[in-house]
Amino acid sequence: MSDNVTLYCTFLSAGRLFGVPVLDVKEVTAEKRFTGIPHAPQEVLGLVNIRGHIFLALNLATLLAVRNHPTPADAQFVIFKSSVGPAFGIVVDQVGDIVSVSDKQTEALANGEQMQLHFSDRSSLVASVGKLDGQILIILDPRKFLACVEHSRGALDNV
Amino acid sequence: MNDTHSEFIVVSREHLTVFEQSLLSLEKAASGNESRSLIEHGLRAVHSMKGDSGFLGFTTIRQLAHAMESLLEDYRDGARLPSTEIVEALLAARDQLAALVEDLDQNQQAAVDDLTRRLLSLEGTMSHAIPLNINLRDWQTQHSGSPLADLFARLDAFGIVENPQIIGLPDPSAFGSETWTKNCNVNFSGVLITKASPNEIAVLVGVQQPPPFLTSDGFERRVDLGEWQTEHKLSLVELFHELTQAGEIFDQHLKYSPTDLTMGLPTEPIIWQGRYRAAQPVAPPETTDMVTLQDSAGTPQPRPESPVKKAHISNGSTADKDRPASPKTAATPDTERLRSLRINVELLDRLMNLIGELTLIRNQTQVAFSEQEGESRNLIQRLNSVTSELQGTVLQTRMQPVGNLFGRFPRMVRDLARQLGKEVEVITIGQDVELDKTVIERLSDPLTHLIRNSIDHGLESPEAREAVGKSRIGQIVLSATPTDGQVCIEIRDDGRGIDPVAVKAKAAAMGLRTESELERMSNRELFSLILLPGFSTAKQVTDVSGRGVGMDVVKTNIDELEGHLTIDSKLGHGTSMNLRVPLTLAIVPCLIVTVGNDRFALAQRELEEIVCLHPGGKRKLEHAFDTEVFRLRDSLLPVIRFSEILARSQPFSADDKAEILAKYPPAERDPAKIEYILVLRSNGKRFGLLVDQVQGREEIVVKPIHAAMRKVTIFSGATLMGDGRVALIANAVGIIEHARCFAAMADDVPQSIPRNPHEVHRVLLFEYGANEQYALPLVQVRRVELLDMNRVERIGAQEFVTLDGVSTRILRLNEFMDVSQCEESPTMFLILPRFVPEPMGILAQRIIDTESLAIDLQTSGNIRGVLGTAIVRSRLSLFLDVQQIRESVVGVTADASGVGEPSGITAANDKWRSTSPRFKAKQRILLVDDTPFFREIVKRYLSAENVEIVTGVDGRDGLELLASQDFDLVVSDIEMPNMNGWEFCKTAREKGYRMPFVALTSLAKNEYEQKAMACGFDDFEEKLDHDRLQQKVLHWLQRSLEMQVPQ
Repeated sequence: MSDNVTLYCTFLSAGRLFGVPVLDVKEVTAEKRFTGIPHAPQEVLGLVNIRGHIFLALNLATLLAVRNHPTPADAQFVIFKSSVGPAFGIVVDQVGDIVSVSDKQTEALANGEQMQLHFSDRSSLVASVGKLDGQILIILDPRKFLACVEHSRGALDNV
Repeated sequence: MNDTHSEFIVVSREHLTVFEQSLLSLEKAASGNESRSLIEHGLRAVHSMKGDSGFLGFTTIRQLAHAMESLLEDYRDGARLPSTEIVEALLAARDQLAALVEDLDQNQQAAVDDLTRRLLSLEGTMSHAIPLNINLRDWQTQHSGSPLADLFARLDAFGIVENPQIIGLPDPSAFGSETWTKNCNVNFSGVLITKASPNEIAVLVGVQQPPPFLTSDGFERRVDLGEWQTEHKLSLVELFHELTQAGEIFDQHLKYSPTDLTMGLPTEPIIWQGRYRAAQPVAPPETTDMVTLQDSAGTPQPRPESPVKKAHISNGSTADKDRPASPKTAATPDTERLRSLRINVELLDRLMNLIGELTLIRNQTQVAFSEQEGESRNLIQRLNSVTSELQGTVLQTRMQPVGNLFGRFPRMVRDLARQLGKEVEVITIGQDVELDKTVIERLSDPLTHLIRNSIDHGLESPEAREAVGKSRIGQIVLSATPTDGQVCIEIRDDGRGIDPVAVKAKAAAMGLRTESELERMSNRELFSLILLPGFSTAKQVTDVSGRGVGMDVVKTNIDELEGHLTIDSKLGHGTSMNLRVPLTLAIVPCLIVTVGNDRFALAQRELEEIVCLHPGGKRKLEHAFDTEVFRLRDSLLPVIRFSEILARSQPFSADDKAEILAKYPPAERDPAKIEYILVLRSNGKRFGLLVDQVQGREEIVVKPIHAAMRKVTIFSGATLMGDGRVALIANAVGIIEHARCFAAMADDVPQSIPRNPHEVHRVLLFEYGANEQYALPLVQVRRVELLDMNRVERIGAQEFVTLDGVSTRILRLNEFMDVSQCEESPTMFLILPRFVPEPMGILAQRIIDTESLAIDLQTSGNIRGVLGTAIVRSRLSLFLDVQQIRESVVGVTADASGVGEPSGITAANDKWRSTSPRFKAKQRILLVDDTPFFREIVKRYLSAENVEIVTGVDGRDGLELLASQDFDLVVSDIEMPNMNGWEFCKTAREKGYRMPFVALTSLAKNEYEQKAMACGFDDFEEKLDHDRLQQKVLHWLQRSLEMQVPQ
């Protein structure tokens, strides 16, 4: 296997380090005047206006099934490119560095052996796990976020 | 495809439209002048196409356009009109031309050749009007000095020359020479009416080709720059200055041999070449001093039709006084083209977005500088007004006259009418009314369909029209009228109209509605049925319509546009279809409201009015069934609390509704709170939406809510507010559905039965005889039918009418009671009671009204069939006892028929009466109901030997009675003041009372039964079925006895 290196945009949420491919990220802003959408799934923080365009903001912590995680005042909004999904982004606690991770450092999340993460039911969102020096980077697949939210809404309907 | 080509396509489309319209209008042009100007329009259009296509090398298009032009040319003078055959051929050719234009790469030479031949064969069969333009000087030279009289003699031999004129024309090739004015050409122009072909005349008369510079395409000039400079010793700047002075130049370029320019100018001549359109046919003399204008070698080619074209131009410049009726001809297509610009719609959309952003920035600036005085405030105000104006202007760019849409229909109507053998005239009104581009686009399909329907189904054949005394020619009027923020488009025909009876029959046959429902529908409601899928009353399925497909598509299309379609029709006089559509979908006037801390927008077109609930005011919300209602003038408006909608993500269940009612008791309103009811109407339903505050009106730009949120139905979109935040746009339809609310049909009297704790009843007041007024609680009325007395059948003394396929007995009150007789009239009313298994109805002379009133019922056991009396509207009213009437009827039936077999009711009663005495001890029933009226009825129903009934007025009263006396059975109402039935039962169970509890209520069983069971009731009975109640009570009394045995 060749030693491919991918750049990841990292961020902290609920005390964990996450990353998404940096090429998927359009921009990071501190805009947080979200308009909540009643009846929307709990993962949805609301709609936000970024320079005349409306984006859907998801709460990453809720998305990963971390309950009751308060969004800090200085939370940041990571917006994805439209190739990832239509006009949306995630709200994270804090944006970190851009790190380069080689293929050798990552390990796919095997389907059979459930990792002891709190969000095992949402493990499909995790693409792989990167072993950094002294830290684990959970690499997410943002393309699955919206589908997950829609499904969540569906589950709510069955209640 | 390059830009020139796409430009050609766009322009050609316009030309084709103009051509088509001219031809179609030609068929009904009134005057010669009018038809002449129409033909000119058509000619000009097809001529321009010919020129453009020739220039771009589309030879097939050019060939066809040319053939069309020369065919139409013959009618230019407007003296005669082209025959239908010719118009038909021209229209066919136009379509072919359109196909060629749309598909430039396809070579359809064969088809075009056919068409060309067809067009040419039509030509020359009758008199032509051949425009002449003969250069007299040349003619004389060519004919070796014959006198001009000879020429005129020859022309006379061919026909009549109209409008003869002599025009002096300077020869352009002589420009710059000393003698050019002396060598001026003298032309003879006129219109020759003849049967001969133009070519024939050209040969015999000796007409020469026109001077090339008179082609409308402009003339081509080449200037050898080197030569010019040596000759005139002037800067080239002067040359170009002169050239531009002389007229409009296009396609200009320099021509030189392929040499390397870095090595200096080539030795060969450098030639400026350009196409040149003179401001006047003759270049102004002063330019000729400096500009040597040479004819280019190859172009323009002499064209066979040149004499014609020449005449066209000379007509245009000299014979204007002849055509006062066509002011439009003054502007050439070229100048029109310069005044408008084609812009990509995407660009406009982007502009629109940017304006939206600008508005935001403007608003933010306003907030930021609001504290400051002086200069900056001025600036902000200017920014404000400029932004608003800009927004308006950009919106304007999206608006298009509805005429663009209407324009295509005359052709369609004509073709269709021909196909169906009908004669139809189309009148369009209000073409200037403007609509948003997207709305226009989306209207096209539904309108096409509606018009087709009108022609096919609406209009009769000419013969049929004559037979009923109408003009042979059917009329279709298409009109557009702006009405407050909407545009009303009407399609009206004067045809046979829609037969409501046929619609009824069809609807009944299809099982869309029951017969009685149909009976009650207004014509407009009936006609709206034809919009349902599969509906068509046309007897004959035609190629065009009548397959029942389409009208539902029309409806879907219109719904998508948030439009509204109503159909009115008068049999024999015609049909009118009214279509209301919003002006634009992009910007919507909205009302901004707040609920809690959140803001929401609501489209104003859904809003009918706003009601303010002041603290301490008399107006209040009341409870009806499971919904809060508001008395809005004389009707009941169901009210939905927006806050509750927002708080509950699932559509309301019965529990939710009960919870909400419990949360907002009608008596207690927060005295400090002002609330607003927005009266909304959507899809014909009306309801009130309760919000905390109304902030104001704002024009908002609608953006779709995110794709992942499409399951959220209570919002239809999102928008940006002035402070930069997003606000959601509420969707009235989604809200009604979410609340599962029985919104009142906007045009109907509300069907609800208000039950509130203040002993208020809704009763139906009616008259039978002249002397008495009768009342019947609405809960006991199934429905009221309008009865056509001709339909009544008689069997002996009994009268029947067939309703819903069942023979229904008609009861005349004077047959059962000692009351006055009624006066016969052709239509009467039949009141069908609820909870009566036998089909019967009470005859009424007049329905007075329904009225909510507090009944102070004076019970009187004396009159049979009467429960009691009360004063209603200052008249003594008899409250009927439906059960007693029923009993006497059935009894009468049994006697009359002479068969001793007891019918259902007597059997039930017999069982009741025969069973009850078997109870060894007296059975005691506690009846709890807040209304004396119901207490009275129920008491009567249950009265029997050995059964004692004790009544309580509410739950609290009931509990006290339970504590002080023993009962075998409790029958309780649910909705009561102080303590309702739910709590009463729950508390009673908690206190250990174990006797059976039966709920007796007007609440719907399927929705509330479970709740009743949860509260501890043993059974649930809807008000007020006599037989069932007796059975239930009997059953539970027996169970009660069994339960007591082991003790």
